[in-house]
Amino acid sequence: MAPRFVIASLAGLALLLATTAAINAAVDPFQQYRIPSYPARFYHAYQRYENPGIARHYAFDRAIVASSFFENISGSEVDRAFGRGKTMNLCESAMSPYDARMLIDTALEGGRVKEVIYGVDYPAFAIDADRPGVGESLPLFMYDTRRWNDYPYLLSLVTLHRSLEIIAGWAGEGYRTDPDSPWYWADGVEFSARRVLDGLDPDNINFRYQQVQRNVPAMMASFEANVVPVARDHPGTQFIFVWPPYSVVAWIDLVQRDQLDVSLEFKKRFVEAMSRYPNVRIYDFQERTDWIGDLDNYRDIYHFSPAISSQLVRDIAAGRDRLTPENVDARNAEMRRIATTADLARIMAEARAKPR
Amino acid sequence: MLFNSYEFLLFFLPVVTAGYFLAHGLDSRLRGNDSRPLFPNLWLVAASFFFYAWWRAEYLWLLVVSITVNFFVGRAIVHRWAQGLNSRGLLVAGIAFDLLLLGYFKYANFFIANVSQLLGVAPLHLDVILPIGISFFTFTQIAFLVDASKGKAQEPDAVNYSLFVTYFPHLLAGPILHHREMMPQFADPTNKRVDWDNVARGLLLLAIGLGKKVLVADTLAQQVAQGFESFYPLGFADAWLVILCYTMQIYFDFSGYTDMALGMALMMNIRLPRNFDSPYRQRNLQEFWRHWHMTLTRFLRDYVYIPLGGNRRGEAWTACAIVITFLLGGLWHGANWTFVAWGLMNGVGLALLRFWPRAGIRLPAFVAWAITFAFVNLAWVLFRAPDLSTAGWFFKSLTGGRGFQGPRLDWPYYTLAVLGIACVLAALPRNSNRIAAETKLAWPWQVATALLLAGGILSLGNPTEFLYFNF
Repeated sequence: MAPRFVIASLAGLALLLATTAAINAAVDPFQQYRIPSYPARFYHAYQRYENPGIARHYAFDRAIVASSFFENISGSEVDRAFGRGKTMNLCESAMSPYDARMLIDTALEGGRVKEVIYGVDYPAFAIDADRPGVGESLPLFMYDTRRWNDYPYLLSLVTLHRSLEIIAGWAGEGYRTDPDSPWYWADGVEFSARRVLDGLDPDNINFRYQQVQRNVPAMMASFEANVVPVARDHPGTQFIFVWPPYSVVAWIDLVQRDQLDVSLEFKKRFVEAMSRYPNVRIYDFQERTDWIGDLDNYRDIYHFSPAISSQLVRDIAAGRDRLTPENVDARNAEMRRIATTADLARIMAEARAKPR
Repeated sequence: MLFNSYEFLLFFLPVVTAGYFLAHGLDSRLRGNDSRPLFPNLWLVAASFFFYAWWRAEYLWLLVVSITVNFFVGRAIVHRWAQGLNSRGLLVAGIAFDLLLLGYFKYANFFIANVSQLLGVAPLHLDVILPIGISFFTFTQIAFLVDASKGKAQEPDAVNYSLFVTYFPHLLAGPILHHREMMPQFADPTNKRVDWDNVARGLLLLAIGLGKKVLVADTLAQQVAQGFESFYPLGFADAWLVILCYTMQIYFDFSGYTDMALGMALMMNIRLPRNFDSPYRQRNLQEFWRHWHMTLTRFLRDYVYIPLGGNRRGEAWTACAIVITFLLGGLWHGANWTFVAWGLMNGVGLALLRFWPRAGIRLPAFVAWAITFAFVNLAWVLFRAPDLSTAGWFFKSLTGGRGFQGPRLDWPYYTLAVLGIACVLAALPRNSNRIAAETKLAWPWQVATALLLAGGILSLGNPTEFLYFNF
C-alpha cells in the first residue's frame, strides 16, 4: 500500500507539473519565447515579466524606459516627433533604477537599439541600488536567454491562468493588445485639480503618498550603480535622460519635508557626472510653470496627462529644455523659487472655486 | 534555501533524500550493516551546510564556529562531570559565548538605539545582518550544554553533533530539538533503510504543510499587509477581519512550515517533535501555550521557568517567574518592544489565570474558548505591528475608538473564502499530524497529496519567507 501511495502521488504530481509547463510553453502568455500568433496581450500587472521578452522579440531601435509617468507615450508619436526610427515603450510602474538597468541591458543585447529615452524618477532613487521598485523580487530568469532556469514561469498557476484565458478567448485580467502603447493607463482617468487636491492634507501632503526621506549619498550610490554603467557600457547608443514635470504640489511637498535641497543637489551631481559621456543628452521639464502650475494637467501630484506627454516628446525632438552643467544652477535656482513661493492655500482655494 | 521554493522541492529534497538512502547502502557495504552510521550522517551534514549557505555563504562561518565551540565545551563538560569535577565555569563560559553571539547579531542595534535614546545622543548603527535560524541553533545548543553539565547528555561524535544542530528540516525555524530525542535516532543503523510507510506519511504531511503555507497563509498575508500598511486608520470591522486573517496566517504559516519539516524528516525515518496541536481549539491560555510552538514552550519551561524557581517558591514568585519567562520568550522572537509587550501580555495573562480558580466561576466551554481566542487575537496585534504606536492605533480601531464602521477595505471573495476555510480547519479536532499518522493510505489521499504538492509548487512564483525565519 505505502509504495503504491508514494509512486502514485509522485506520478500524479509529475503529470500535473508537466501538463502545466507544456501549456504555458506553448501559449507563452508573457511573450518570453516569441511574438505570439494570436493578438498579443500586454498585462499591466506583469510588466516586469513581459518587458524582457518584448525587448528581445519586437523590432525597434528606440526604447522608452521609465516609470508610470511615461507609460502613456505611444511609440508612433515618438517616431513622428523624431521623424525616424521605430520606438517601443518599455515602461514599468514604480520602476527603480535597478529595474531600468536590467531592462536596458536586455534590450541592448542584440545591438539593434540605438536610442534610449530614460525617464528619471526622483523618488525611485530612494530605493537601495539593487532593489526593484516593487515589493516582490525581479524575475531575473526572464532577463536572460537561458531556458533551463525558466521553471518559475512555466510552473506557475498565474501563467497557467493567463494561458487558459487566451486559449478560451476570455477577457480576464486587465490588458491591452496594442504594441504601440502597451502600458497606456489614461483611458477613463480624470485629470483635474479637484482630483489632485481631494483629501490632501495641506500641512502634510506626504501623509497620502508616504514617500521616504532621501539623502544625496544614497541616491548617488544608486545612480553610480545603475545609471552610469548603462551609458558608459553602451557608447554606441544615445541616451536621452528626461526629468519629468511633477506638479507644483509635489515641490511644495518637498519643501514641507525639507527635501528640496536634496532633490536639487542630486540633479546637479547627475548632470555633472553624465556630462563625461558624449552619448548622453539631458532634458529638464521640471520648471515648466505653464505645465506644473495647472493642476488640471494632473491625476495626482506626480502623474501628468497624455497631452503633456505628447508635448514633452515633441519638445525633446525639437531640442528644447536641454539641461547642461552650464545651466543647471540657474535652472535649480528657478525651481527653488517656484517651490518656495508656491501658495498651496491659494491653489486649493482656486481649485475649489472652479465649476465641477 | 526556503522550503517553499522550486529549488528546494524539485531538486534539493529529492536529491538529499535519495542520497541519504544510497549513502546507507555504501555504509553497509564498506562498514557492515550494524555499524554506527557514518556516510548517511555525513551526507546530511554536508547537505545541511549547503542548505544554510544557499541563504548567504559568507555566514556559514558563524554556524561552523558556533557548532565547534559548543561541541568542544560540551565535551569538556562531560569529561569533567565523568571525573566528578565541577564544570560550572565551563558551562557559564559556553552559555555566555552563545548569548554573546546571539546578542551581537540580534540585539546589539536594539540595545544601542535604546541606550542612545535614554542618553539623548545620536545612535550608532552597526551594519549587522540577522543570520537566519540563529535563535534556533543557539537555543538548541544551550540546552545541550546545560544537560551535559547535569550528566544527562553527551555526544563524543562530531558528525552526529553537527547533524543534531544543522539537520536542515529544523535548522532555520525549528522545531527546537532536544538532544535526548534526536541523538539515538541519528545513531540508529535501522533508521537508514527505506521505510515506505514513513515515506508515504512524510510525503502526505509535507504536502499538507506546503498547502497550508502557500495556499492559505500567503493568500491571507496580502490582506494582512494591506491592513497594517494602510495609510488611513482602519475601521472596526476591517480591524477585526485583518487581525483574524493574521491569526490564521501565522498559524497556517508556522504550522505549515513545521508540517513540512516533520514530513521530510519522517521520509528519512527521523521523527521530529510536534510543534502544534490544534492551539486555537483550546479553552484557556495555559492550554493554548501547551499546544502552540510546543518545543519553545518546553524549552522555556525547562531552561528558564524551572531554574527561576518554577512553582516551588509560593504563588507570588510563581507569577513573577511566569511573567519573566514570557518576557524573555517575547524578546527571543525579535529585538523590538512590540515583542516584549507581546510576551508581557501573555505572561500577565498566564499569571492571572493561576488565580482564576479562586474566583470559583466555571465558564461554559464556548465562553471560555471565545475569551481565549479573543485574547490570542489581541496579542497578535503586538506581534505583527512594526512598532508600538501602530499597535496602539490598531487597538483603538479594534475597540471601537474610531466608531463601529462596517468593512471598507477591498475584501475579495476569494480571500474571505480562504479565511473561512482556514477558520474551519483550525477548529477541526483532526489536525495535520493526526491525519498523517492515522489516515489509511487510500486513493483519495493519493489524489490529495498530488494536488496539494502540485498546487503548492505551481503557486511558488513569488516565494515569501516563512514568518519564523525572522526569529
